[in-house]
Amino acid sequence: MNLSLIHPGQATLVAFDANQLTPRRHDAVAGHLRSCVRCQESLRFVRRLSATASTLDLPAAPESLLERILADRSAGERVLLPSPGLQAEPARSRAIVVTKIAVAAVIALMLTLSVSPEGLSAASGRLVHNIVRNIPVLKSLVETKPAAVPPDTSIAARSAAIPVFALDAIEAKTDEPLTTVSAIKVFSDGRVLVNDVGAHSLRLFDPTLASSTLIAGPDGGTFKYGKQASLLIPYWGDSALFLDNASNAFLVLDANASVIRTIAFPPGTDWLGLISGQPVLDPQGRLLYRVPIVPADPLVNPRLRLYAKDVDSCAIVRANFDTRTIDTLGVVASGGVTRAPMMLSSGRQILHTTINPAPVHDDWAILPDGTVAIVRGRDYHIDWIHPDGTRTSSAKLPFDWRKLDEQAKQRLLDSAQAATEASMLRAIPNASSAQMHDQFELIGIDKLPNYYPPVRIGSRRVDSSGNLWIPPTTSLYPTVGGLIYDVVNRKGIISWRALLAPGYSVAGFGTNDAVYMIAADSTGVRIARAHLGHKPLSTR
Amino acid sequence: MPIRQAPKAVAGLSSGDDPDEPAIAGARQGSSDAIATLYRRYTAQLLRMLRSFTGSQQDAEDIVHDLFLGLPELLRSYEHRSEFYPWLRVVAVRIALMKMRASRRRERFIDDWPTDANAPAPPHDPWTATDLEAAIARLPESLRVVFVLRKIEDRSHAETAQLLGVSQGAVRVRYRRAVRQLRAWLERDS
Repeated sequence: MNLSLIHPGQATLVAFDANQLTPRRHDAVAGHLRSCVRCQESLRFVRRLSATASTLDLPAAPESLLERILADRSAGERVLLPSPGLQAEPARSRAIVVTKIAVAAVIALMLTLSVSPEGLSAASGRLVHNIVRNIPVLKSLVETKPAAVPPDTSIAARSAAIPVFALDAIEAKTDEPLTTVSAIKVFSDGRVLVNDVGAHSLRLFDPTLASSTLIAGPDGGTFKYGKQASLLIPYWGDSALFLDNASNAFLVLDANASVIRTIAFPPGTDWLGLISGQPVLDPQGRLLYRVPIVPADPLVNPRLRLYAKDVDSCAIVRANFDTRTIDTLGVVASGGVTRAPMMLSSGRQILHTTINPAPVHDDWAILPDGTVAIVRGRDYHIDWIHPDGTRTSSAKLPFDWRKLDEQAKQRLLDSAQAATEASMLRAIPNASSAQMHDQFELIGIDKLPNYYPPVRIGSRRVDSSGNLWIPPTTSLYPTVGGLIYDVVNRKGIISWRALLAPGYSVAGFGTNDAVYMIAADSTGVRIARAHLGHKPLSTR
Repeated sequence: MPIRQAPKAVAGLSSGDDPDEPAIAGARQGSSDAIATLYRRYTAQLLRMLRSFTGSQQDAEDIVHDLFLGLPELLRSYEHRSEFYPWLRVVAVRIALMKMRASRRRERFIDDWPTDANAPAPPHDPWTATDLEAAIARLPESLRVVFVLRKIEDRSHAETAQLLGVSQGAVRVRYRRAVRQLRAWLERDS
């Protein structure tokens, strides 16, 4: 065989270049190279690859990372590392073990839910959410200085390069105070439909936000609001859905907020499930919402599954109103509040609630093209579920991680305890301490995370360009005091940040870069509009 | 800055020959100074390898964090049969593989790189170390880890195969595929 006619492989060329071939083989390859342009180019690439690989810079070892390591060790944090003497365990067998543990945990959880929830009020669910949102320590988190652990310099460097744009001065603001606003729908002409769940009313504000018309209320308007707080779900274009708990159906509202048709709930879904499911509509008009992952179990009363919410994860499902079918898109973490029916020694049944004041949540949103964006709270990155079903993930986003040391954890629990009791007393003025203890419980200090979770549940917004606006939990512009939103583009990169006036948070978006905001003070809640500034303030 | 600073493994090294011995003994007792000494001595090399491994500086730092956080406890199993850095690198690779397996289904976006793997890379002629680093990050995980260990860490086929728990034949095939893919990306775009 004439070796000079055979193209040598990459490995042979590498060995040839390093003079590691036998003399005979070396001569054969050299002879081939003299007459083969293709292999000459291959050899040139191999040589260049080796030369370039040898010039890759050694990154600096960040001192901040060392400080974090030493601080974590001082705080008692430990990690079990794989032994270098053992082969890495195959991923599949680990997955089986994890699955078995997860199944066991779910079964154990379900066994605790085997009593009836009769006599329990759905209002307690809302109460719990209000408690978590009103824990002073969490509210004041953005006002605290960074913990002793210094921010990671590499993340800080990435973060520092992101421009910050402040919103212009507020150009319009509602005069009449609202009670508790859960959602707004901005129409193309600038009118704003506001769902005031505290007053049980839907109000349509004119483009100046100076005056409003009552669309639905407990006693007036074009239709009755109902006795329970309900949902307004903005839709693309000038339409929206309103969840009517009286008829257990959606009312479809047009640009005048008039009811033009009704749609039945998706199969297997009820009012309470939708209220807690954060429903949104995708561009095809399908309803996406989350449902708790509770496996069917013949031992469990089906009604209990309704109450066993927020066990620790939920599925995002998509309901098609045309075909009346539901499919599952993904899973999100939904820690925070665990509710389980419990029977007291008196024989009375109550819904016992366990509160985690620093839960690790995943937040999620639907983008204008139908992509589902899941903001992962564990490490602050985005998972995208594209309309064609494919999935991609962003890199981790820069975030100012702040340590929760033992003292901070205790402060958090104390604060949550006080907020819980205050909320309980507002709801049930004569509640005794024993009653409160029966109803609510805080998780143990050992179950709190070691760092403040980055994501607030339900706080993200999506603008018309498909950017995600996320206010991280440690977000605060240092010199002004307003909330800063990370604006994440479709590549999963924070392309810029938006700074709001103190006290405001984003409620929605209008045309021409209009941002609608919401603020609460002692007199009530107000809606305001401002436009995005075009000159970056500076970097943080 | 040139590389090739990582020391090769030396079988049967006695503890008296190991220049890291004082720091290892201190770190085993949980001494912050000793941990800091080892950190400053080896983290740059580890970060370069792990950054190429994971395609993310932040992921690389997370792995280093875990590695040094658990190092004092792990050092109890260190028996001076090889030099310290190769031993440490094996642990780092194991942690990285565990983490990468956990997120295997994800396709990571790399900052400043096209999101579509088939999209052209930014043109540079001639291509640079930065281009190479970004191209390595675009490689599929199975090819990337082999290429990094073979070319960046200068490990042999046998050592790479042992580290990854695959056959030497698989390492050879993956390495060839990685080089072919890198060439397609780098030379096409230049």
